[in-house]
Amino acid sequence: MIDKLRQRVKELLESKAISVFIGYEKGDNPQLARPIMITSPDEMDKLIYDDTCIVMLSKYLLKPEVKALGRRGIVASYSNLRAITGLIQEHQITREEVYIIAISTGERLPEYYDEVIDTGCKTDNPRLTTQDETIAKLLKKSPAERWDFWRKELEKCIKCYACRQICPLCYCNRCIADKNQPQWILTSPHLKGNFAWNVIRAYHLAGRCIDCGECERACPVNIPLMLLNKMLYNNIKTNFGYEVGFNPNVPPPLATYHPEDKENFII
Amino acid sequence: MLITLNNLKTFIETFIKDGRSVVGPVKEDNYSLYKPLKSFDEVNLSLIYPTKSTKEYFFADNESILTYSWTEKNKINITDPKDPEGVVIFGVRPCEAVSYPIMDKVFTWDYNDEFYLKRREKNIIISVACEKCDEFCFCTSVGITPQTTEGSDIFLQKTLEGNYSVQVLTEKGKTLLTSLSSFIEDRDEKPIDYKGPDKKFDITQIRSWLESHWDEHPIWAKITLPCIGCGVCTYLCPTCHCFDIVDEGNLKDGCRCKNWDACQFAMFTVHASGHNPRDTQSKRFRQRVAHKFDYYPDKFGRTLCVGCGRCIRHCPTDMSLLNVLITIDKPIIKLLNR
Ligand code: SF4
Ligand code: SF4
Ligand code: SF4
Ligand code: SF4
Repeated sequence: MIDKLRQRVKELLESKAISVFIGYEKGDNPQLARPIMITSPDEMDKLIYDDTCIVMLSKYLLKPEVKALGRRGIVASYSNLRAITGLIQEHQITREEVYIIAISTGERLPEYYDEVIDTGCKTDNPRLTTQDETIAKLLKKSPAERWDFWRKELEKCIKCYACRQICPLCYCNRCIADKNQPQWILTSPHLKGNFAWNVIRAYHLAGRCIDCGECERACPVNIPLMLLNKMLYNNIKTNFGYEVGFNPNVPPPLATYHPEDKENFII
Repeated sequence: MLITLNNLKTFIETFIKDGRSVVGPVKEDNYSLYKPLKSFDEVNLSLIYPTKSTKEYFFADNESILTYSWTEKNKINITDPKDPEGVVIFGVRPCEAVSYPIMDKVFTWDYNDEFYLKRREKNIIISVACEKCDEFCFCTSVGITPQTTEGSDIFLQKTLEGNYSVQVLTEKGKTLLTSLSSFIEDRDEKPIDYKGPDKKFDITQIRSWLESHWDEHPIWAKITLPCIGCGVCTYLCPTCHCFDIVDEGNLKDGCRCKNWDACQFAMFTVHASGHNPRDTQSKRFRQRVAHKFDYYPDKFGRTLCVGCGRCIRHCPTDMSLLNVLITIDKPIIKLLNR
C-alpha cells in the first residue's frame, strides 16, 4: 500500500506534475507522524502512512514557504479532503493548484481528489470522537453550572494559540486576536481574556469548522474545545442543512444572504 | 539523611496545614501541571514531568505590574501590586531546577526584574531525582544528570529501600528543614543509581556550527517546514522567558500587565512600520535554536536549555528541536561512530 503511494508520488515528482508533495514521515514522537514536504524522488522511502498520520496537512497548502516551492501534491484523508474543499469554497486555493491523493477509509469522501489509494488504514482520524453526548449533558445543566464548567476549563488556557495555528480553516493573515488598534480581544491569559479568545475563535469557525478535532488535540492543557465547535456545527446543520467541505460550489450559509432568510431570531 | 515516604507525606502536609502554599506535580484528566496542593495524595511522582513547568511560579503568565484609576479630582492614582507570596515547590525534576539559575541571569542582567526576583527569593525548591526518562528527554546532552542538585534547596533521591535520601543545599533549605527535623532520620541508604538518557548530541559542536551557519543556511528552510508557529514549545519551556507589556483598562481604571510572549509567533518581531525582520517561520525557529544554543551561551557561558523535552513531547506537529540538533550534529556523530 505504502509502495503504491510512494510510487505515485515519485512519478508525479519526476513528471513535474508537482514540485512538492506534502505527506508524513516517522518523527520523534511515536504517536504522531511528522509532516514532510518532499521535493525529490530520492526522499521517497521517508514517506509513510499509518494511524499516526493525524496532523492536518491542508494547513501546509497555505504556508508561504510551501507555496513558494511550486505546484503542491498532498495525501488527504477524509478530514483533510473536507478541509481542502472548505478552502476552495472560501477561495483560499484553487482546485487546479493542488494534486490530491485521497486515502480511502470507507467513509463518504468529498469528491474532490485526483486519485484514491487504499492504504489499509481504516480510521480517518483516530481522535475523531463524538462530543454530542457531553453536549446533551451540558445542555441539561443550569446556566450557572455551565458557566462553572467553562470557567474551570477556560481558566487553563495559556494563550499559546496552538488551536488557531493548527486549524485548517484558520488562515487570516492577521488574526483579530493580534490586532491592537483597537484591542478587540484582551491578550492576557486571564479568565476574561480567555473567554473572549475562545468564544471568538469558536464563532469565527461556525459553519466553517470541519470537525477534525485538531484544535483540541493541539491544546497543551486539553480544553474540550470540540464541545464548542461541535455545538455550532450541529446548529448549522440543523438550521441550514449545511455541512462544510463536501461541495465547493455551495456558498457557506453564514457568508451569504437571501431575502427569504429566517429572521425570527431578531427580537 | 533519610526520610521515609510516610514522613515525607506528613512533612509536606504539615506545611499545608501551617497555611503555606505548597505546589506539586499533579495529573489532571488529560494534562498535568504543578498545582497548589490540598493534600499529599494529589502528588503524582510517577510522572516524568507535568506538561506545564514550574515557570509560572517565578515568571507568571499574566501579572499586573501596576494598576491605575482616576480619582474624583481628576488625579491619577497609581498603585503597585502586592508582593507575591512565596511557594514551596515539591517534586521539581533536577533539570528543571537548573532553569532557575539560568533564568536568574536573564532577569538580573541589565535590569533587576523585581517581579521575578521577589518570587525567586521566597520560593523554596524541593527536587526529586528522576528514576526514568522517555524518548524526548536529553538532560545529559546539555550537561545535566538525574543527580544534578543545582537550583534545588533540598534534593531528594529515592533509595533502593524505597525511602528518600535528603541533601540540604542552601540556607533556605536548612531553615525549612530545622523546623521539621523530627521527620528526618540521621542515617544513609544507597540511592537508586539512574544514569538518565543517553547523550544525543554534542553541545559544543552545535554551538560552533550555529556560529558559522547562522545566515540562511538551507537546512533551516527545509527542516522547519512542519512548524506552525504556535506558543506550545516556548510556553511549556522552563527556560523561555520572553514577555510582553500591555495596558488593559478603560477611562476609569485599568492595569499594566506583564504577559508571556513567544518568539514563534509571526507578530513577535513586527515593527511599527510593518516590516518584519523574522518574516518566515524558519527564521523564527532558527531564533529559538540560536538563542538557546548560541546567543545565551555567548553571553552567560551556558546553554539556555535543560533538556526536559517538553517542547518536543507536546509539539502538535512533532517539529522536534531534538531532531534539529541531531541533524546539525550529524557529521560529527558519524565521525565518532567510525
Ligand atoms: S475542529 Fe478545530 S481545528 Fe478542526 S476545523 Fe474545527 S475549529 Fe478548526
Ligand atoms: S490551544 Fe488551548 S491553551 Fe492554547 S490558546 Fe488555544 S485554548 Fe488556549
Ligand atoms: S516547534 Fe512545535 S510547538 Fe513550537 S511553534 Fe513550532 S509547531 Fe508550535
Ligand atoms: S528548549 Fe525544550 S528541552 Fe530545552 S528546556 Fe525548553 S522545553 Fe525543555
